Amino acid sequence: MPQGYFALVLHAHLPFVRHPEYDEFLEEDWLYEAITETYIPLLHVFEGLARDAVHFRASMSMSPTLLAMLADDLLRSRYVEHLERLVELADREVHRTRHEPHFQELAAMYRRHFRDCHHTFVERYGGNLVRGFRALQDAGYLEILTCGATHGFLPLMQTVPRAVRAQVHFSVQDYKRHFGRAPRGIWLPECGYYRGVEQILAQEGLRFFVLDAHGLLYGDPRPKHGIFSPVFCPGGVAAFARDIESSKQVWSAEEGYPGDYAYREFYRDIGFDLDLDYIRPYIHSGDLRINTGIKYYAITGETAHKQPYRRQLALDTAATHAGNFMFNREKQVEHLRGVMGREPIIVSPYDAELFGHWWFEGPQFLDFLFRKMHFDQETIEPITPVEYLDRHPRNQVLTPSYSSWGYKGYAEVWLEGSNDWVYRHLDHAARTMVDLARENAHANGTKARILNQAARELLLAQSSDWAFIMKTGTMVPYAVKRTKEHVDRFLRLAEMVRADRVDVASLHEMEKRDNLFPEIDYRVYAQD
Amino acid sequence: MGDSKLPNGPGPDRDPRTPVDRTKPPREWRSRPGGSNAKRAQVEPREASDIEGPSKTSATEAEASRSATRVPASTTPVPDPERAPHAPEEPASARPRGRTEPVPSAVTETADLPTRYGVDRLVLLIRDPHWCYAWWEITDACLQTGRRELAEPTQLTLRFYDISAIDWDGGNHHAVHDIEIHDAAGSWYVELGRPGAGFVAEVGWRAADGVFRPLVRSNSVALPRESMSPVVDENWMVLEQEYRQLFELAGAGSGTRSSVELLRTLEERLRRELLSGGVSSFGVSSFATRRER
Repeated sequence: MPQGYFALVLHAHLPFVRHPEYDEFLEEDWLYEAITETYIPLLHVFEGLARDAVHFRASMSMSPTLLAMLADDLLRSRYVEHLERLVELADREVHRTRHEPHFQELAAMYRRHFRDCHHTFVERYGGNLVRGFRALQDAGYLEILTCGATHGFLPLMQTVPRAVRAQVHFSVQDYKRHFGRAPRGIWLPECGYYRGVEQILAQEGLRFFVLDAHGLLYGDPRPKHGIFSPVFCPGGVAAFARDIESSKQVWSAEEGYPGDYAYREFYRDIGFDLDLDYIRPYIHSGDLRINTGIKYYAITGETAHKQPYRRQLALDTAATHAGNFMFNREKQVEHLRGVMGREPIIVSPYDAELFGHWWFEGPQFLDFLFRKMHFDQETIEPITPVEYLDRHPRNQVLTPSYSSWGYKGYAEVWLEGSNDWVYRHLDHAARTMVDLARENAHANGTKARILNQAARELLLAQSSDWAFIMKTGTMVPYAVKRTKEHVDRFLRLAEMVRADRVDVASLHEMEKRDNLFPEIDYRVYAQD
Repeated sequence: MGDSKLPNGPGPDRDPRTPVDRTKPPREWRSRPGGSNAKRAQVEPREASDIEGPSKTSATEAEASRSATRVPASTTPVPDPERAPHAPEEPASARPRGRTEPVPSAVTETADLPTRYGVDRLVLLIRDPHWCYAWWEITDACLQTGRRELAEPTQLTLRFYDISAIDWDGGNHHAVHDIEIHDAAGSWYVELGRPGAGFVAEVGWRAADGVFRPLVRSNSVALPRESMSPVVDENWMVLEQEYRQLFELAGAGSGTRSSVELLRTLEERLRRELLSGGVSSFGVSSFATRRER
């Protein structure tokens, strides 16, 4: 019998970026990089654990926009082309480094990985990676959470409750299409909670969500077990809180594992380091240098002179870190078990893309961690939130406090000078959508298509990613353009309905571009 | 091309764009040159000075001196939200090449969005336990309604009512705080400064004789608390000792500390974590980083 539980929660999300109108589009690379560096490596780790009969449990949210892209034919075929170029580049690298065995070994490692990715993506899953994650869920290892339909930050949407409802409803609906059953949990976009959102989650049949620590600690009444056991919100949905200690160990700049000098350096990519003539076919047109994913150096230290990456040393370091992480969780659990008089649950949520994309050795860290937990100790057991609720069905009832996992813990990341201008447009579009849905409750044919597309454009405009990018200051014009574009398309569609004047060509074009949520029904905006 | 040697460290011919100290990935990830940290450095002093400095609106000062209740708010003027924060330029990424199909202009044009929607609306958004953001739009017709009956001069005013823990009937609020505004469509960040308190706002005309005629009313908001709830569920009693142990504050000579001090220590620690950025999400920023060219 374990003394406590560990719940890993990975949040996998990318905004919907799909541009059929261009042959190549820089921001589409986000998806391709994440597939090669994070999603496939995680899949391989989980599959390896299952194959070796290691007891493990993980939870992972997959946002509807990510699912839509992973299942999209155009992006799938573009990914395969992208990957084949990478295999070719790695081939050339193996040749180019033939007089430098150390680098050649690394080049061969990348080539192997890209070929493995190709095998997994094309042969094993027929281009649809979602199938891989679904199989892990069906086998009981993985609990896949849903998210907001387009990752809208719900606390800033609450003045139009039906818009919040739609974000949740369409994501639940879309989840069923991908995974063949209803989701049990939801990752609130940006961990953004406001009082009352739990009623909407309950309406949509969800059983739990994850909160940031202060959201629970400052709940009302005071939580008896702090952040180490879930609570029920009024309405019956359970809230699990993020553990601060384990978050810091992985994430913190000062104390986090990913900064270890042995790990691979993210910023030394051959896309930037090698001669333009050589690398040109593998970067963007116009000689726009990009990360290729092939990187040969280690973080090394606070120096510009980076040492070559030593794979075995990095893996040994990941194993040591996994051991350290586990040790700390054991101590934490032993301590808490004594205080609480019941088994605590340590909930550790991270951006999935941290693992592999940024922290190259992150997937191996998880692999080591679950293996060590399985073989080396009996204090903690990996668990999913639902399994914990099944074992501990009696929990305190309280109302959490407004919170997010963004910088400073509230809404400031998405509500500040660079991005606050979006909210009056989003508010207007959302309220117009509600009005249109009420006024046209029985639309069919082209009119229904227009209304459904209007709903898609509204949802896309609501992605928190655009406001986030405006705040962080890179790629800002793209985020501004996307916000304006989707609001503008929404306004055009609304005008088509109101004026009863259909521009079929434009409608068709919008449907072709923003093609997510095939089962969307605008009438949801009229429902109470 | 060919067998060019692998570069090892930035020599004199190395691209100066290559970042130098990339020793702490998570932080660097979030603080690209000109990125979030640099930006914060610019943003925060401005806000800090706005918070601490004298209020910039005479209305605030006037109200502060007039009101018997201490006014909790100071205000930060905000530029017109419709200011184009970034020129509507075509992103560098959208570079059609090769056999790109012609695209109907009806879809590709990034039209500037309307500056007004012809509605009467006031919305409060919660930024954090201390600050909220108000935006409003009022139509000309609404602005003129009943204005003639008011004693001149009239002043367009954003009025906040503290409605904490009451069922507001329009008159039983605790305190009122006015901010002079000058645009029929605008926005303000307001430091309400009362974590856990409830507010509602109105935009209206304040007449020379003090009469206030509201034109539009906002949603009501409850600022998040920034501390533990004082309410304890008797079935889930929390003992001081338990909290001490739960958060491992028993050390550091805390044996004599009162529960109030204990909670304050915990809350302080939590605030530090939140402000450190060490536990906040990166979102898409890892993908959206691009080295300066």
